[in-house]
Amino acid sequence: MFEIFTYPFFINAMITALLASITCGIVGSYIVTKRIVFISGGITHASFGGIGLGYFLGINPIITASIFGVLSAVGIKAVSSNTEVREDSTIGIFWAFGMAIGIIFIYLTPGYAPDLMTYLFGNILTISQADMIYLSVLTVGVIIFFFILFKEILFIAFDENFARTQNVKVDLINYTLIAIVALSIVVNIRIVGIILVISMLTIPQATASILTKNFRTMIFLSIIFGFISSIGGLLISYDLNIPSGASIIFSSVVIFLVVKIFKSIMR
Amino acid sequence: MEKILEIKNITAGYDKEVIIENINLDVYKNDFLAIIGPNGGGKSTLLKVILGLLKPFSGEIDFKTKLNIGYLPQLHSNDKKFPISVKETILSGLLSRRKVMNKFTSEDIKHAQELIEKFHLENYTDLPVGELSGGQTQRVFLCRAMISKPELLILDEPNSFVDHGFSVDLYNILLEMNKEITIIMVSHDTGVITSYIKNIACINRTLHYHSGSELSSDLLDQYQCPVELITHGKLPHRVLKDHIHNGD
Repeated sequence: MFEIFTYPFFINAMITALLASITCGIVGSYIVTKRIVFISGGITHASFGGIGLGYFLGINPIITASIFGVLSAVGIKAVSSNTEVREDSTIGIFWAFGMAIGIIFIYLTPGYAPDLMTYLFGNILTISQADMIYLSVLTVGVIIFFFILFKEILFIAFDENFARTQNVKVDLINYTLIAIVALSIVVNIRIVGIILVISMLTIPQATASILTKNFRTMIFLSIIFGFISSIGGLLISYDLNIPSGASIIFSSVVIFLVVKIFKSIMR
Repeated sequence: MEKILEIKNITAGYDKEVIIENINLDVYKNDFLAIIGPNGGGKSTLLKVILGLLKPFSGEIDFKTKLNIGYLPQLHSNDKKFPISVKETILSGLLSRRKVMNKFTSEDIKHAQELIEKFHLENYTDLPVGELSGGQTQRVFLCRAMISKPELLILDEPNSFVDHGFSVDLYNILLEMNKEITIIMVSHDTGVITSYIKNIACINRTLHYHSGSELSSDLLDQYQCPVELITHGKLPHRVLKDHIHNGD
């Protein structure tokens, strides 16, 4: 089966997997540490509205989904911190409303949506050149942002009020981060699909957390575990002819269990 | 005495509910001001307004100069799994310097090390903060408040978790620092009112100020402040004058 490593489509998939692992490793570590997994789930599903709109307008759904994702991310944060609506209720509203908009637009679009399943379950093997460029730009942006503001991000996540007393631009950094979370989610929808994307941002991090309690190490380990899961998932997907999204998640859970068991034995 | 901070007619609270009303208070350079009062009386609310964490309904806080503030928040249950070490937490007190991306200098690390020793945290430096006990965490947060060499130190219940033995050490550290800086401390604890404190503000929705001259006056037999002021051991204790309520 190793001859597939020479096929261009597979090399593309591996590059995509590497970029996605880096983005998810960094952003996911922030999501897990800050405990905003549920917000991230809300953003994921809200962005489906953008995918529907993209179909309706006949443009790349990833572009419209990015706009929907960022607007709902900022919306969830703004509504829950400035009004009396509870945060989890706000998330629930955005979550369902985005899905509803998506379904409405898809039904209003003449003909049928040919690769709708791609957005629900993802397919790393059919990723387009445009999506790869988008992912590359995002990955570079995320690396630069976290490299420059690493301390601020960690310290704000740990104690926001204290950071405010130190004159840190807490709101600006928080809103930028939640927008980055949204963009990272949307670009990964193309790879593992709406239903599974949250796992790319949480399972490698959970595995890393078993081994370290240092934020920087957690990021690096998450990237490594994410990449191994992606390649493992790709091979399983190719071998058994099943959707790559599902096999990637399957291998990441296997890695989680192996590390967990290994750690228990070592103790 | 030089005023560094003037609190003018502050009314504040949460969700339209007023917690503190018409607060006026001056803070002087090298003051050691204790804010005391019952739970829910508005001590922390006033601190949050001073720190700019809570926007008051009315009134203003007038800082005479731009101050570097060190803040010890009230300890709440922190995330046990948060990936941040004791050392990192202490160094996070240097955020206000706002040099983006700067590595901590060897001088910073040295200063952190001094604080770690002063607060007996040598054995915990690389542990995640979440794994420490309440008293240890509070000591870490005290180091974080002090590492920037603040001109104003604001402490919310600094002794609520610190064990009694360390409590005396803590007040000696504060007394030493007070020679150069101003300290505002909130407490509902009885042991706090020691001879170190220069002025006291009692707060229970409204504020009553007891200045230093009054504090050094003779002791009364009855405790008339709404807060218990009994101290233990050999620490001297004080009694404040009764509040004069308008219209009472």
